[in-house]
Amino acid sequence: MRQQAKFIALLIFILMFTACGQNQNIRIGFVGTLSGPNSIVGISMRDGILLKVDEVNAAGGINGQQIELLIQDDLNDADKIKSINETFIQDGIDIIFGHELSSKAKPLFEVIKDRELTVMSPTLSTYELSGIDDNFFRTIPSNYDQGTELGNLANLESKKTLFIYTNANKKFADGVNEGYADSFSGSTEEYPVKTNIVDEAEAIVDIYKSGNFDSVMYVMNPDDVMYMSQMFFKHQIDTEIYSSNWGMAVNMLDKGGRAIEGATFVSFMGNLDGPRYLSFRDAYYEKYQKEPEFAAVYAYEAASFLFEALKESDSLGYLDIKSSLLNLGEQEGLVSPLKLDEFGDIKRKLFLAVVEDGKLVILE
Amino acid sequence: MKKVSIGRTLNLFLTTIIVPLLIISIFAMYYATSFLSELSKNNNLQIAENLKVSVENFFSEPENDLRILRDLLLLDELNASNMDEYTQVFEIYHKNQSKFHHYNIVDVNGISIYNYPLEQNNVGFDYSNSEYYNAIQSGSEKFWSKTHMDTRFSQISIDFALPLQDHILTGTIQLESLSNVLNSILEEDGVIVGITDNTGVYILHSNYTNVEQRITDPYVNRRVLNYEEVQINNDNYFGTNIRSNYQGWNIVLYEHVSKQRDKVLQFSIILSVIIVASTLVVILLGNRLNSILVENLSSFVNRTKSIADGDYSESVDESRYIEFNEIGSNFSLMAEKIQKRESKIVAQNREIETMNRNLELRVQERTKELQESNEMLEQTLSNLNETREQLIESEKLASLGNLVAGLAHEINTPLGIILTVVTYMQELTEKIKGNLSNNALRKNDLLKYTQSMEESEILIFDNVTRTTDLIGSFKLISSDQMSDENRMIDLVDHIENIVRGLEPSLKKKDIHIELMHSGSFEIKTIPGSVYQVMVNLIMNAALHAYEHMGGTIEIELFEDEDTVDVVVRDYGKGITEENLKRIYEPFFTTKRGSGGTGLGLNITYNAIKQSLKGNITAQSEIGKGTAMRVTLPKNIEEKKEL
Repeated sequence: MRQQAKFIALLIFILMFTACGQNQNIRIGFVGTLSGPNSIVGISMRDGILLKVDEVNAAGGINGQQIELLIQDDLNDADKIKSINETFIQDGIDIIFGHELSSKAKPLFEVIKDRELTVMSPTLSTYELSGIDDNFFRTIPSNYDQGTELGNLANLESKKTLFIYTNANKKFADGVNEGYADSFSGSTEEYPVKTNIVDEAEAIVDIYKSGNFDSVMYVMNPDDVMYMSQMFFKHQIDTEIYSSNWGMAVNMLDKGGRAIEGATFVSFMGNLDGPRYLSFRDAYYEKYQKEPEFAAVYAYEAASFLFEALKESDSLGYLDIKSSLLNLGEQEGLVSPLKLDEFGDIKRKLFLAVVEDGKLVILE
Repeated sequence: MKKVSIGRTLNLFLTTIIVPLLIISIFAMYYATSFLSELSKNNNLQIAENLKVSVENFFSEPENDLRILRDLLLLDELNASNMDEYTQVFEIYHKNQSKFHHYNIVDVNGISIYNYPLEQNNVGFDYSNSEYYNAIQSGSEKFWSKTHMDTRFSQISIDFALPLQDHILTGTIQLESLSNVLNSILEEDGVIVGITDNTGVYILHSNYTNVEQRITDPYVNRRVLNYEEVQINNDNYFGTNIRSNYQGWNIVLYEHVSKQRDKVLQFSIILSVIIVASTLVVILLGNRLNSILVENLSSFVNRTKSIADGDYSESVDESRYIEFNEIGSNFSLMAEKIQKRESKIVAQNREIETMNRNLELRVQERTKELQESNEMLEQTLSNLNETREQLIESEKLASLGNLVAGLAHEINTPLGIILTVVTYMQELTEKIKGNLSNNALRKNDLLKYTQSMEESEILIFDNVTRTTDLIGSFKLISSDQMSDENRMIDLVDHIENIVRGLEPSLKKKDIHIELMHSGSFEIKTIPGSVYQVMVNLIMNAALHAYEHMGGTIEIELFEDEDTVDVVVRDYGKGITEENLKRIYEPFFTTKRGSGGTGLGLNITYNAIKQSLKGNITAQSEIGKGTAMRVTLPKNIEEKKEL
């Protein structure tokens, strides 16, 4: 009997035996708007960081640890943003990446303020967050700087600008608007799009027609920029178009057609002929079969910057990561060098890009 | 030998069933895993192929639909100035199909001239930079766009474009509606099914969020998956993708590894249950069999113990098994027979005991008798030995007798001569004395007397010398005869002396001895034994070979390196072959009645073999004679035995 019992035990052992066990991954939460009309930046940002994560994991991870990206769609909703971030924190996530729009700063900070984690955004540019010693890091210049750049250009071409912005991202728009207003010598009027552009476009055209404007300034997503421009085109209104970087999408210019010709966008991407950018672009194109948007480039850069810091960091504790990020020094970005200041903010050169024959051309 | 119980042996037997069962099961599992894996792979590929066909069929439908619309539009020869007619056609058409959400017509410049439903309000928009415009303008017969976010409806959409004379007709499909239609294909637990456009972005997906979020499939743009294990969202799947000829779209299918594992697990569980059940059955049956055997056998064991203890009355318990009952009844029969046999054996034993006791007495008596006989025999043997010794001694004395007879004869002659001469001398002396007293002595007589005296003296001296010599040789021979000491002798001289001693008696028998040799042979040996041997051989030849006929005995000596051969050869009647084998046996004689003891050659043989360390062989032929060859070592001390 004893022998049979042994064999049965062996059989059960064999049946029950399954090799299990996972390596400890570095878990990074990703929050962005991935669906709906405002999703283009979030999707690009996600695609950018995913490419970087794939590359790092394929090369063996960070100090042997694989990166696990936990992607959440915030539906561009403040409550959702808060709940996602809170859940991440509750789940013991040490690093959160994303939050592409300035409008997300408020709900984000409501959750992360004074919490022990590291938050990085490649595109959240509201200047209100500048100069604060906190756990938030970004690799994009402030929105105010964008407004300034566009304002300086508008001085050469325009007298009166209709400032059309998505009310949902008012915080970002305000920064741009302030920068624009501070540098633009002409006059401005604001029109916040409160519902959606499709419904309000005709009204905006009417305001434009009646207001003696010669230029528009968009702080909207690319789809809305294209739609609004088509509406002006439809009404045969020839206007100077200025747009924050948010409205720029190289893959969406076809939607603008001739309506978007001559429009000027703030661009964070200057020299696109450098080997680092070209190498990134090829990898991106291979993976996604499309050109990288600026948000993808910035997400990739920011992720590279973060991962370099993680390599040097003693732990995933936010103080260690912060120290590592701030001490990392100047890193070669894809399009220009980047270095964080003592507040975790960045100073980078801005560019302006004009649509010529359906393509973006950087203004010298 | 190590003893084991039946129970353990049965366990061993069960083990020999269970172990192969387990081994077979393990192999079965291994091969089943491979088989299931291959099956799943083919299954997934088939699903993907089916999906591909379904999708191609699915999308060929709106293509055909839009072509019908175009044909309708062309049939009515409509133009942009008559929008109401357009709308009528579109309304009728749109009711009868459900794929397209809205439609657009752009003119040759890419400007939208009509859209349906009208609320879209995008007439006048410029699409001259769009892919479909460029494609159709470049001569394409049809064009499917990439997926895009339709701003107006916040829907991920895809456009299909057809040339409409120099215009372009587009229909837009909202992908969410497609997902609903394809749900039956797309939904399966643990399986992700998706279709991507030519950039790898999902057009359809089991989870629509992936379409909504414009997710690019992580693999289609990079490599072909053929049921390979890949990671999606940090989870492992077996991925399969195939490219559709249709617009470069891809069909992807990811089966969660757990599904495959579940199949293996399910199979393993079924197999395990079968194995465990069959093992248990084997064990239970084995144990039952074991207990039946042990229970029934223990009854027999007890029975055998009882029988061993002499209790034949106890019976084996009744068993429900025929075989055991049969064994039981046989057992009882056996016990009965054993009992009978035992009684018989006991009776026989008693008889045997009685017989044994009688036998013992008889044996004792017989032993006593035998002992007495033995003693008598020993006595007889002792007497016989003594007699033998005496006979041997007699033989020795007999040979000495021959010697003495010869010697006496030899001495007799010179002594006779001496006596005659002395008598003659006395006569001469008396005559001289008479002459002297008579003074008749003459000078001449005296001279004659003196001369006669001198001659007589010489004669006496010679004969006395001869006698002395004879006695000397006799003394030597006789002393040798009595001594076993060895010394150097000249064998030729020694034999000559022997022959001389025997000559008188041989002459009587008219036997002539011829000694043949090539010089002297100095050897170290026991002369007495040599004497005895030679006398026996010579006298044997004289007595047996020639009987009373007379003849020649040749004694020939040969020298070898270490040995000397003495051949005593006669030309008498010879010895039969049968007798030749027995001549050395003691008491063997052909002259028993004539006073032969039969010991002569036996003694000779023993003397040669034992004392002289030599050898003797005999050759004989009836009617031609006998040759006895004696081989002696040159130095007895160096030779142990020949």
